[in-house]
Amino acid sequence: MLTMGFWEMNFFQGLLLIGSVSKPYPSLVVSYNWQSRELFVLTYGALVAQLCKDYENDDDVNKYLDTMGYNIGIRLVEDFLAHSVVKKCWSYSETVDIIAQVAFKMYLNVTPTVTCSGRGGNEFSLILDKNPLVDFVEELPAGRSSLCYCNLLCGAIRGALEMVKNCNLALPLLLPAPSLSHTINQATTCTAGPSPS
Amino acid sequence: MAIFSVFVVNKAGGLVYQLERWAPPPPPPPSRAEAEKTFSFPLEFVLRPHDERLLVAFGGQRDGVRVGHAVLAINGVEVNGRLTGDGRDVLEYLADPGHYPVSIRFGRPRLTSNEKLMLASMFHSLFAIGSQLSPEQGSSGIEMLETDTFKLHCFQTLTGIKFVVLADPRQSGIDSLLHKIYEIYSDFALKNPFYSLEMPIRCELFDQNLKLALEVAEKAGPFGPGL
Repeated sequence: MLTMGFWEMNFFQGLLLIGSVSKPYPSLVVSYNWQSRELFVLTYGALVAQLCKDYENDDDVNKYLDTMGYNIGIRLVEDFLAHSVVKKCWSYSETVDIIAQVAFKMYLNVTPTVTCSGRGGNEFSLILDKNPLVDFVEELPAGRSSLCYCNLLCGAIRGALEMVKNCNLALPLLLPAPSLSHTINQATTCTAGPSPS
Repeated sequence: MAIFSVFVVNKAGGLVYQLERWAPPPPPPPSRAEAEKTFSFPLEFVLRPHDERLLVAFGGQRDGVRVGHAVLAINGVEVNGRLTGDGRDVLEYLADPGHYPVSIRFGRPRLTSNEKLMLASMFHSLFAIGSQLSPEQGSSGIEMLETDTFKLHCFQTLTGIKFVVLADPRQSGIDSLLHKIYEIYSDFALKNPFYSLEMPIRCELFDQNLKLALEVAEKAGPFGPGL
């Protein structure tokens, strides 16, 4: 149930390449990162295009993107925690800040802005001004108006947060490309894990 | 061997990975863990079967033999559970005065994989109890268990995975080793597309890199290479 498919694996490796740490030679750093970034963006585009071919319904495509993102998120979170020095967050807004400023920076090299949509500090939106995934996308094809192009990112965030037991259910509210607005709802009843961490 | 074993416990308390590093037991002189002696009839210990082994239930705590030690070998031949090397029941063999004097090796029994699974879940529960009992809010649980023969270090990640390392009490640098093991886990176990989360880890790369990291940690410890 939690295995990673071929596309998820490629995507995962692409995500890591795009934010990889610098190598000894500066000129090589630029070209290495740029080319792997291009590869990553192209891979994602091919993935969404293939899913659109396979499934007529927009909801199906969105659902599969979310599932794949979830499978990536549950593994990516350990990589993130192992390689960054973040401590345990004591409030939900701290968690969202860490996601925006550290995680997004590490993996996608962008920093979304965080806005709180009220409701007692339980809902936040991450607004990406510059989304690397949609660099080459001009507009969605006809008849695909409710496609959430970046749903994989939402799935990844949902998977990552579930692993650290911060939220039970994330209800992504998305706009199609080019901008991404992701709203995360913290469930009102959070289950406590067996070992409080 | 300054680092004795490594265990990885998943969120539910199940053992996901274990690595034990044993140095071969020195034949003489008797170490703290094992003792071989020649005995004459009658034996001054009471041996009782427990699981698949014969344990010392009551007896003189001298000559290096302690309660809880198991019968490891008779006359130099390793016992096979409760039977001798040639298939006879050990208790019957030892009840016959004609077989004496007999040389028996006692030692701390090695854990079977079932026992390790059980102990891992037990440790998981104790860890949870420890963090509940802590007078401070938001305790991180059991980090270290110290005895005079070993130290147990535990590191729980924010996702609930526990890495447990048993090492010599004088070995230093275990904290960084635990972080290194976490990195190795996130690199070689999780990024393997065919590894399912929370399942036993059967990844070659994980094994190799873990053993390498343990060797590096031992060399950097207070003993230096060669020990």
